[in-house]
Amino acid sequence: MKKIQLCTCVFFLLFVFGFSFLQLLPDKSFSDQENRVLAQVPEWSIEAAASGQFSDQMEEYASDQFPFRNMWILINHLYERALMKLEIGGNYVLSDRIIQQFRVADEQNIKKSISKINDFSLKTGKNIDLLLIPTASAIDREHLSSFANEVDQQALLSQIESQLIETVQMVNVYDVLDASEKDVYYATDHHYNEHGAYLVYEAYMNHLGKQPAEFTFETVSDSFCGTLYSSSGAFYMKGDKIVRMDPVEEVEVRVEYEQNGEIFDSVFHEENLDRKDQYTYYLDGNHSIVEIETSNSQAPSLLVIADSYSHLMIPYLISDFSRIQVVDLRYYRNVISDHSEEFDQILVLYSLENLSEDDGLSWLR
Amino acid sequence: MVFSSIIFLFWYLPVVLAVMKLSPLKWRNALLFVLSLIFYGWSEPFYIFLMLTSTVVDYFNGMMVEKHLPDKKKARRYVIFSVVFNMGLLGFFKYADWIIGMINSFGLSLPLLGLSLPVGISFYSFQTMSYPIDVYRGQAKSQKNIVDFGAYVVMFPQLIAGPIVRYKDIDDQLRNRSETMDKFVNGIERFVCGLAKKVLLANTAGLMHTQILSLPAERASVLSSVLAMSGFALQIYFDFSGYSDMAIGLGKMFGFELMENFNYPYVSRSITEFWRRWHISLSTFFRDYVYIPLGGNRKGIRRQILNIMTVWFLTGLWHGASWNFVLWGVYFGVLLIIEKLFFKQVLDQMPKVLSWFLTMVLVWIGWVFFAFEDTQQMLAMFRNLTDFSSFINQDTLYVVRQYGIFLVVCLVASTPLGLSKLHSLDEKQQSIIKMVLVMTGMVICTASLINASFNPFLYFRF
Repeated sequence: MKKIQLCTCVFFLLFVFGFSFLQLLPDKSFSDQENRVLAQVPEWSIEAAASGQFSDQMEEYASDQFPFRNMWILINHLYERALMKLEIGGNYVLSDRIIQQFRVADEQNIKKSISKINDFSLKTGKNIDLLLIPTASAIDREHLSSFANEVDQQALLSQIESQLIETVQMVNVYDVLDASEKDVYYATDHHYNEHGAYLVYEAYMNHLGKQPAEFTFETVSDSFCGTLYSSSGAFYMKGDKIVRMDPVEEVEVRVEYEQNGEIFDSVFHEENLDRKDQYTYYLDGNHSIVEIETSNSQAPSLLVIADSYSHLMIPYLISDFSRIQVVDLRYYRNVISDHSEEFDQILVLYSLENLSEDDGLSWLR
Repeated sequence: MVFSSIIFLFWYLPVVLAVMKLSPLKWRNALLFVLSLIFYGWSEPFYIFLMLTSTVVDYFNGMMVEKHLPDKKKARRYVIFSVVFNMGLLGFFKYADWIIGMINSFGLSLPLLGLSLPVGISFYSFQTMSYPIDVYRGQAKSQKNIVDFGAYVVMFPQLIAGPIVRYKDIDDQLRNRSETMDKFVNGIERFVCGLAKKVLLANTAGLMHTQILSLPAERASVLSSVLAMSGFALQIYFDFSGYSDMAIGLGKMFGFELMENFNYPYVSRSITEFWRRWHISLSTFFRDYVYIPLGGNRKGIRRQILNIMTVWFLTGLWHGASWNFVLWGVYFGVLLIIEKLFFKQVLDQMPKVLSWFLTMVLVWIGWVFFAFEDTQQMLAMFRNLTDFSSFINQDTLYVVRQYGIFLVVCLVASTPLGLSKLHSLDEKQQSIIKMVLVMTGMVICTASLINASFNPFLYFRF
């Protein structure tokens, strides 16, 4: 019995002393698995120490730089799974996919954003098309436990539709996505995948009375571990595919990021496939404004006011427009209405969940 | 610094263990004193001086009381001075803004002080105050060595959240304590048990509580509200008793025996029993330093009722500068009087399950008073708990599905079942099981701490 007690004692001391020595290993600046910058040694100052800010930052630093951090996060994930929890880290973790949670819709915020869109249409005298993409918790609901009590996104879309004025038209893609046999979302990310985006593209073209273009598809990566992968700690999941789509009838493009920024001749960014967030393959991730000119000089022009769901939509749209300007109101804070005259079409493209959570559209003016 | 943090477990603890275990015995109180100041100063660098002032003042108070002991009147003056001094400090830092706010509600506009509450002041001001009183009562000798006395006041295991250690209980241990292997391993087991209660049970229960409350009002139901309050009840129990376990465990690792603070309160079959099992060091403190000096039950029933109400008013107030805590204390005072008058006998004759259930309903109602400083929120909770038009809904089922297994674990951990099962085994089996629990506990707690952004300590507000 003394021996066993000694074991307990030795284990405890090794654990505590061992990991405290291992913390002397060099610090890391970025976590690929979590896709975020890790905390570094905080600066000491009298004010920071007095307010308790310094000790909080030290704790954050120690936790972020803890040896084998990813292993600990995975252990915690497995422990939570052992408790048979449906939801881990704010998402539903299933055996083959992770589904973003959308439990409560912020109806106040949605109302505010919708009235901003209505006002914008009145102010500019332009028609606006509205594409709101439901999230996986509605479309993939057959995979979810019946206990999950998610927002009824179909009803929410109808409710939003009733708040629109005549010149703002919603293209309701719920049924199209819902009817799809193939998966329309990534398994490890909250965005729709190339197939989901294509279905939305098709619906939009139908709405405009156009024939959707034809594309060839090519898988360029099968190791995309998205945002849901990072936040859930399910580091054993397989990556998703990233697919490149090229119009059968070739289109040349000139893509400019930010005003007077860098210029590219493709909407795809091969170099970003080495990054953790491979979704940035499409249109280089988040930018406040992107200006695209295509070789279809006879086609109409399009203003897209959108969140990151636009990144995967633009490669489809280049066949149908001569000029596309993408504005992300989460980052772009200038007046848009003064140059909206230049465009034949205006499209607002948002994830329904983001419309509820984000107040970017309050900057629509 | 809090125990359930990476900084404590993997920076501070190894240093303290190395320093304390490798240093000569006679230095250990001095080292404990210095190390404890670092522990406290880590998050409260300036309030250290407040704590040291309180220590020095009562060190002299104790000596003066002893010196004048033959002349009770003179000695008593120093006791009164100590009480006024300590309660003045506590009153100033904890209640000044609350009182100013109340005065202002009569139309004045006095400026608020905006002082942050010094961590642990509710605990250490009681401890330093108990010392001259114990000397006055002849229950302890005065401490000549200021370092030893300082080590008692600032001793880091119990410094910020108790148990409230009385001077007379630790007097001998300051000079003379045994540090054995047996005790050390015992301490480790107790510490890891407390850490798991705090990190794995209390935090998750708290998450459940806030998650239910964050739903829009129209999605509330009776059962969801019961679950929300159960989340709170479990959080506060595992948080606080976990902290006490960690304190007792750490104490043992360094040779101290601190008093038990919790004894499975949620198996109680009356409110009287509940308060014998909940925060024992606080209720015995109030019994010995307020209730009995006021006359206790020796001066007739009327006086006894008055004494009980005084004690429970103060107990409520001690928990925070807000009326809801006073209400919570007074509520228990009234319940205890009713039990004293006749209801305890009624409870004792009931079937055990019924008296237990009734007690828990009353305790849970108490937690509603306790949980909400905002009166509107408190009333909304009472409305939700009694609005039977919405008894159960989809959100309730979700909570049950999400936290079902966790709740079963909590239920078992709230009873002595596990421990009595363990004690029915032979000693070797017991040690093996304990070893496995220590190992898995440390690993999962570390994983959870690394993962967690949700790690608030409830008893810091007091």
